[in-house]
Amino acid sequence: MKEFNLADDKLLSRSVVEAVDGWDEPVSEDAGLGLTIMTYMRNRRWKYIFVAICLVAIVLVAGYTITIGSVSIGFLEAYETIWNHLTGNIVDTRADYVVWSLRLPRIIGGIFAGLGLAVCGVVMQNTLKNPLADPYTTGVSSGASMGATITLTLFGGALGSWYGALGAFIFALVPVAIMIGITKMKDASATTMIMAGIGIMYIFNAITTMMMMSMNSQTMQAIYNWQVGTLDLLAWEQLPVIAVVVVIGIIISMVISGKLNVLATGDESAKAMGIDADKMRIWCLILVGVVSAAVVAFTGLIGFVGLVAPHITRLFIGSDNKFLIPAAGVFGGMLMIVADAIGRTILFPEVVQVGVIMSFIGGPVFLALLLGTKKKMW
Amino acid sequence: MTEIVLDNVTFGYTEDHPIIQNISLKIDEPGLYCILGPNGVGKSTLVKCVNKILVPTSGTVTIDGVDIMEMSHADISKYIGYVPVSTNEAFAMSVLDTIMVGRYNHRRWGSEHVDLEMVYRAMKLLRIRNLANRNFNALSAGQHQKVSIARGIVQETPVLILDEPTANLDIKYQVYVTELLRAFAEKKGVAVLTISHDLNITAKYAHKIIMLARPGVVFKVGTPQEVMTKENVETVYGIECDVRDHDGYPTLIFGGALVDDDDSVSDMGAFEKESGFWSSLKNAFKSDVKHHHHEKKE
Amino acid sequence: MEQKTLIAIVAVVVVAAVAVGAFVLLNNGGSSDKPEYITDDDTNRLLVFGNVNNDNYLNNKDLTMLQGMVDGSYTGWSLKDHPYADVNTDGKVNDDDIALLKKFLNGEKATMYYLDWNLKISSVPYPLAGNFAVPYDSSLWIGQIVGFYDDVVYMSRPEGFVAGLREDMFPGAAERIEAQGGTQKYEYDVDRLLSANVKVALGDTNALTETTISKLRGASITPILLPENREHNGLNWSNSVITLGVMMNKQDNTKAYIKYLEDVSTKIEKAVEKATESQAKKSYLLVYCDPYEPGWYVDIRGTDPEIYGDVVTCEKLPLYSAMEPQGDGYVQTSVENILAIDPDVIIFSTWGPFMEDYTLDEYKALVHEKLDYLKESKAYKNGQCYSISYEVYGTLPGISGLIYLGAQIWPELFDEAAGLAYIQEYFDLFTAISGTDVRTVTSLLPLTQEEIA
Repeated sequence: MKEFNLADDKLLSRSVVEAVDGWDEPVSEDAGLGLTIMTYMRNRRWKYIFVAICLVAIVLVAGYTITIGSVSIGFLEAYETIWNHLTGNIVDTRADYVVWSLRLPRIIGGIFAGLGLAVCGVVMQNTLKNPLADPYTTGVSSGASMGATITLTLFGGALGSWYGALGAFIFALVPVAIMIGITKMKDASATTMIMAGIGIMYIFNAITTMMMMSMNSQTMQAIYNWQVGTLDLLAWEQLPVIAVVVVIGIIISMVISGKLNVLATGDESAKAMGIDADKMRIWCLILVGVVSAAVVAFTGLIGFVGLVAPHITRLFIGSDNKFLIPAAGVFGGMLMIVADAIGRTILFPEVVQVGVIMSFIGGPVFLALLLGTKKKMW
Repeated sequence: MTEIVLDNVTFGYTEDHPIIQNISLKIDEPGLYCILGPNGVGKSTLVKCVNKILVPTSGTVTIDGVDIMEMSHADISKYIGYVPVSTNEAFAMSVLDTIMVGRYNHRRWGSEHVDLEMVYRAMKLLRIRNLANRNFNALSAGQHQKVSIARGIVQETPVLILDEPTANLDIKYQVYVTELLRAFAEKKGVAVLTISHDLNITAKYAHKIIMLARPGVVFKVGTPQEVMTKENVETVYGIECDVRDHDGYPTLIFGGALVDDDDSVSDMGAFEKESGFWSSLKNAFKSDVKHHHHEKKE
Repeated sequence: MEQKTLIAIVAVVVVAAVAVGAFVLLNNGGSSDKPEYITDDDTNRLLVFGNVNNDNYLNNKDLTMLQGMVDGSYTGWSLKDHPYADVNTDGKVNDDDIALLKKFLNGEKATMYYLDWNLKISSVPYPLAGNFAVPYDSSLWIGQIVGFYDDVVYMSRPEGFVAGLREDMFPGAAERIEAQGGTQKYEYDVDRLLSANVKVALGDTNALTETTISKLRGASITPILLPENREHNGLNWSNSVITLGVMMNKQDNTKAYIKYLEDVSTKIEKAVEKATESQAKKSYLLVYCDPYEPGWYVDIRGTDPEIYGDVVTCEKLPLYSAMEPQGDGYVQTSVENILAIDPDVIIFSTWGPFMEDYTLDEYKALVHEKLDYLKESKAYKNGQCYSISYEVYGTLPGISGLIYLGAQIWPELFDEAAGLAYIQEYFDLFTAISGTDVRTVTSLLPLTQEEIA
């Protein structure tokens, strides 16, 4: 084993020798280190604070949207009603029904739905290294559409029922399975996945359209409303399912957030650092597929959250997934219930669905951010 | 010191078009190894076969006696660090965070301070401390390069592979970085493999040179004095040159390019083969060897 | 200002303008221009030019008045008040009109003019004869009264619908009538009408689109632009029954219907007057229930001239809508919104159980499920929730149950026993189930809250 002595190496200039010689020296006295760490920690702290602010914000926003609705219930009264319900001391049955049975499950469900879709969006964008990716890039949207249509036409069940949701869920996963099959046969690169997703989407949409052509206008309207996306179907019974799936999905995403950061450096670099990029991509696909299918089964295809919540949050908090995942999730949840509150009240007595409001407001906001920001995030 | 042995390694995307053939090498001593060769000869392909980013079509690669096919990417990454050609990242973070990603294999609960110190050291070495909080995508190509190298260094692996680390740097930093890598290899007792196009800098600073030639084979392995001769350079690179000794290491002075006027071997000779409409169509559907996604083909 | 910002602002303004424009358009479709001489009281529903005195019959009374108009002995009249005096619609009231009216009264072949659902003049060959094409079962109701039921050979609904028609209500229809086919499009397929030897096509604006109408006329098939369900520009099915009776020279068949209509209408109008004086009018919402649609929809007046049948029927009672007219009359709302509006009366309107495969229990279960959501409403707490079947109450027979339904809500204004008798009378006189006790046939009576729960 050859041993070197740097000082003896005539080819090296003095500054290099000094620099490298000092490599193993303790660096803690170095003034620059202190400053670097301080700024770094300060930025980090700011990110923690931002996440904390988001969490507080969502509680406040949720709290506010509970008091919004066409049945006029005062701000404090709304909380009183909840408190009364929890202590088993219901005073005003009408207020209790409106706040506890109509609004509350919708808001909680909306938060989880927004949470789930936004986090799925972050994971999707990272694994596919594509800013246009969202949870529906997995093909879940076209599969769920087809599932809902099939359940409706073959079994005639209402889309809000359990087997309507089950049908949508199961069929939502079929495109995901096909995508995985394709990646096994070809390769699991980001481009392959995106192309496969598009091809599968066309097929499933075609089948759904054919089924819809032989429907009467009322059934078609039912499917269309479901596709637009709504929080109407979220009652207390549905919440545990969505909550459990979304929470597990978020926990898993947080655990792999470090791996996602590595994945974002590029497939080769990631492999060299020990992460099998292809396998990771497939597992992420499954994770996102299952979580978004679970959400979509109950809410229909609410768009925009999965794509834009990550982008907007990224402007504030950067691309480090450890912070981006919780922040985007919370932001997505907030977005959902704010849009829902607007839709419930803006055109009284008509209701406008969540998906429509979000696109109307979100689209222009997103464009404004795109034009206004100078940071080169992507 | 980790020992890496390549035994008769061949790789190609399709069976009948191998890019590198019958490569046998041994890397068992610390030092700066430079891989040289003309464009398209397979330098990047070779290094990617070493850390299993590409799977060799035939032949074996062993690390400390263990075949890499038996090792997972995670295992390999403990031995071999890799710095690919630097590109913009899809979702960029700050420079410090970007370099921190290189500490992936070392991160544990509460190790943050150690990691930060290591990142700081790397930044100091590469003279990029001022960029710590800048967004990675907002850097110049040269700065990108230095950040990527830093990310490679903090991985603290016994072998470090860098693909054209000096490609976008000015002459001062070409020299500085090459010296750095040499000193680093000596000081830490690690093997640093670089791919380079600069013959003079390589001739001066490399401990060993691996020269590849068409059609993707090892032409010569040895010290700069052994490898950098007029005949070798003219044969492999096709350029006239004069080799002088300066302070104990070879210095090359270049003449003109040696261009072949014989149609049968020049670019026109290959015209027929490459122009077929049907052959290119056929090639699109050929799938003998499993494809690997990669950013740069060489 | 930086160019980029300017572009962004322009983009936002354009999007906002489009959104507002769409919203405004959708909510301001059009308005109804019903002529004054067509009043709401069902005593002047005959739309034929020749109905000089604006009543429900084409008879010698019209001839006498017309002669008086022409020879000058009848003074103080204007064409604006008596537009049907211009029998041949040439703009003049003269002997030509008298000659044409005489032809009608003698049953001679001629061209007869009428006011159609666009409030424009259309024509039919008098006397009108089959075969007929229809879109819905409601048209069959008309056929049974006027007398062309046996000449209906084609329906633009799919196979399943025609095969599922109740045999007792529509005897022989399922075997005799050819169906449109697989896809659920209501628009007439002109080629198939020709091959089925159809001469007259009844319909609504779905079956008779502008293009279809011109195609039919080109193929010498007479489209009848009279509403056989829903209300259009103030005209509804009662206009059609009475007018078709005259067009086919079968006024004997429609006499009893006219009498029934006028009888019930008068009773209801008196009640409405009393209710208005004593402030007993009630607000209501009509909640439409689709078994496939989990959302909450209400039928109300829209901003365009078409009104859903159940709205037409219900608003004859002393009810006023709890929601303003908007959109196309089919509006998506929510449980909370309904609770906020809190009408005095809630009426659920849904299909079935008229079709064989949809049982009474399924029907009740659907309404019951929706009813459960509204337990906190004023209507529920006062027992003022009801359900009606759209097939019956959204079309001709709707008028039959009004007094019965009225008696549930205003016992002081209506008599329930009389109401039941009116239902029985309607189905005895004007349908194929004559002699059956209406209480034994599902969906002929509105259901009360106790019956739903």
